[in-house]
Amino acid sequence: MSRLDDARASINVLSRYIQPITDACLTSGGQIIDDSHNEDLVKALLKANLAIQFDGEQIVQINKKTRDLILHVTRSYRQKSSSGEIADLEENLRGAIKLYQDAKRKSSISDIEVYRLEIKTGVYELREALVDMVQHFAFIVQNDFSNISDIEIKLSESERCIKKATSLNEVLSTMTISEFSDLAAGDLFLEDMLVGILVKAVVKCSRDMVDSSHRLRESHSRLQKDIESLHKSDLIDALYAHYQVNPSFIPVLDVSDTEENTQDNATCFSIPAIKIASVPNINDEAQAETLSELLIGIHSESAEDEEEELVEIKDSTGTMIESTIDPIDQGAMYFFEALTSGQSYSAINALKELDLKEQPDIWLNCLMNGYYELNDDQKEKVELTYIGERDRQFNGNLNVTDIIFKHL
Amino acid sequence: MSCNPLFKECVEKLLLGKVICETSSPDIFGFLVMNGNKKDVSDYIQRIGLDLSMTKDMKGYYGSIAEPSSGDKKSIRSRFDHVAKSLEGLVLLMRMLKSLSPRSRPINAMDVLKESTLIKAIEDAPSLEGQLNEVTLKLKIGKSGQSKAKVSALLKYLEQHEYLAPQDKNGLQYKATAKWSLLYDQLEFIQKNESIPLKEDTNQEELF
Repeated sequence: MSRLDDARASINVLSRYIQPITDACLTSGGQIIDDSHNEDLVKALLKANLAIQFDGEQIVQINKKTRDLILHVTRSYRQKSSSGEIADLEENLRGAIKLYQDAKRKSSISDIEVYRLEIKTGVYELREALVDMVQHFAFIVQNDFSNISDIEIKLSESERCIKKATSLNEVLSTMTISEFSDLAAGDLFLEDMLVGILVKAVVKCSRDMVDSSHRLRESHSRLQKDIESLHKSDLIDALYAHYQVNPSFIPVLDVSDTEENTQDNATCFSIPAIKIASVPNINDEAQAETLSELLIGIHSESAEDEEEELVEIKDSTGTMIESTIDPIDQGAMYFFEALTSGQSYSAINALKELDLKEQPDIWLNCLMNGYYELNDDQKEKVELTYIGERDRQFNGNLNVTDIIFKHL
Repeated sequence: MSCNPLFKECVEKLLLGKVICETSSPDIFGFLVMNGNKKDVSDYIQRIGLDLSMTKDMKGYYGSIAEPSSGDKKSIRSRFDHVAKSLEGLVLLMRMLKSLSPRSRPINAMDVLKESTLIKAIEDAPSLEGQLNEVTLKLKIGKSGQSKAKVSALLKYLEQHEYLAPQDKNGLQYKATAKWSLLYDQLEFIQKNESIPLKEDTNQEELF
């Protein structure tokens, strides 16, 4: 069967079964169930090489070329070309241009016409693929991934789109006027095709892509911020809920794990608090001038602040001041030093023993002061017994005449 | 060798345990993010066993102890305990600020807080007044009286603890510092360390 017959047969199949083929392409990704109901359709599609039969499955898949054709003509959705496809189309175009130039050099008129047609088709296909892809990105930006509900999947999708946009921008950046002018090498037909049509489209697409890429990045950064906010919000809610359930909750850090944690994630607590202080080196002549200036500054400031009366200052270096301890305090000191474990002393007896010329009540007061100055541990070891007389008429007072101090 | 005042100030702040951000120290932050300066500062403090760390949201820099000695561990523990003690009050405060935000957005570095807006929002919603009372009680701000006085005292507390930087002389408008960012990192550490489930974890469990 000739190629023409093949083409006619395929078009006939498409024409005869246009309804089920369109339905399958638009609603089920091009899949047709191979059952008795679809028996004729499946046979026709496979015979015309428009579908693929999967081994061991009752499903027939309409092939990509046919699906793309249906989607293209119905314009139901924008065909998503990839940067790889665009690079392939460009590569094909370059190949056709090379063969066209060979045909021209050999003056093969019929071949020239064949490649002119191929170049023309290639240029228009490439232009269409570029426009489709740019429109696809514009649609994504406008739509802002509203069809995806999960914010993290949105972020991943946005990252994927940015990658695709970057690849496309890289491809577009290679399609320059100088590049295509060199390729045209002064041929009017090629100049018209490459510079007049293709470069014009590339320039427009590049401009649109810059805008789309910028907005994609903006959207990506907004999504990142949203995820960050969501995480922070979840943290607050989680800790709040934890406090509601455990009101006495106080987090604990195991210090033995700190080193390990520090290298991991406890960095946020491993913050130094180093006190910064310095002293001038008074032996360093270089600092002398600065220190003198500072000193003058301090003097002038204090002089401005308050007018002080000048006081003559005498050098008292080396003078020794002798202080004396009151005999009664000295006596109390001896008393407590003598009061060792198991001992018991009467305060009045001690007054006599120490031969202190003091009134008994002053001595008793002095010893009580000494007792209260002892630390708690020492105080616990000393037992006091008050000796005295109560007033005749009961008023709660005891006239103390002596105190027995007993060391336990 | 001539002394670079910004370099000196930057290192001093890091040694003192301060968080450097665009709000708290715009000059130093600007200096730090300029080419090469970050590496210079990092190399300098590394020689005394410190690292230049960044908050997870990349809004603030702070110094961290690279390999803690036993003495450092005590100070780490003490810092942790300090945060732990005021944690409940801070969580309640963050929850209250989240409720006050129009989109229930948690507070972040660079956010602007106006005293008048806070007072109005709290006066309009009695539930927020209850939250404010709880916050001031837990943070031991100890200001009795009307909401207005409590809000003022709270803002002063946050300024004193370097969570906020005043934007005008009257103290009526404040900007959040990256100390909040550090606090979020600390909250996350505590949440993981104490195995406190997040909403997403709960959702995962429900799925299984």
